[in-house]
Amino acid sequence: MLSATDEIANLIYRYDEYVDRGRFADAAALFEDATVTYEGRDITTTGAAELEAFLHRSDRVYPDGTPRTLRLRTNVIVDVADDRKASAFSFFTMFQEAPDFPLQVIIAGATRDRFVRVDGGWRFESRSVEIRLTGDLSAHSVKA
Amino acid sequence: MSDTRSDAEQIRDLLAAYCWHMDRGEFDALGALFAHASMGDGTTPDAPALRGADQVAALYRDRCILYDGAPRTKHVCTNAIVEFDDDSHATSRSCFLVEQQLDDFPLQPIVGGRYHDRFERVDGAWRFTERRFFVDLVGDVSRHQRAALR
Repeated sequence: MLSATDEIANLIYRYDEYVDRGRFADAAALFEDATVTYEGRDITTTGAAELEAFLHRSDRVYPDGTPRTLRLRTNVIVDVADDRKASAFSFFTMFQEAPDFPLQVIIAGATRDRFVRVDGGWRFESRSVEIRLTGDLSAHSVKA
Repeated sequence: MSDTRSDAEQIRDLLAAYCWHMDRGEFDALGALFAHASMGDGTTPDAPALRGADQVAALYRDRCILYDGAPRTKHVCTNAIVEFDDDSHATSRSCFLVEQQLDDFPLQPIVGGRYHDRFERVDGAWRFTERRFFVDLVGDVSRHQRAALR
């Protein structure tokens, strides 16, 4: 039922969903065999354990178990090269509302992803994150 | 040209149609999307859900503040994870963020959260069978809703 493009978009959205729900281990598991690079910040993780550790450093978790964020993923362009390789480009805009922190936009950026199809399913191969616009991160970053 | 939109695209169109009718204050058309569906707050699953077009339209008419017939909002619905149980049953989980602006109310995000939806295909057309909403991030909804969200 799902096209390759749909399956890949679901993967991208599932990562955002897991992180917003505070399910960092589930989010990181999507990058089991993948690297994640933050452009211009000298941050690269390889594999799930490193990414999960990074998420615990980058996203402060509140008593409800979540980072109190909403990652809106838009402008998703998926390019399926063949039956084993694909890439995608997308924008994300992150909103946050937390105790003593009114609802506001805190980060906007772009993401470039590469995917590989293994055993009939698409997986992340690599992700490069470009954070373009930042607002008040004082309620988000663990080390603000 | 024939309509070649995929099933997933047709389901995303339903998500978009909700936002379109909502932001235009078209509550009868919004209700009609849920003619065969229930709608309720996912955080209180035991609370009675609304069922059918009339109940849904009546709730929105009762809750939403209109300015010259429209709520002056933009409902942005993104991140739709669409999955199929079989060729006539599907689910989606998506995010929403509502923005609002009035003469004395600067453009700002006022509420954000998630929709967990179920769909069925009948006579070749997809339709909602269930919507559960989760309000996660709350801003100033005093100009949009007559009742407090939290």
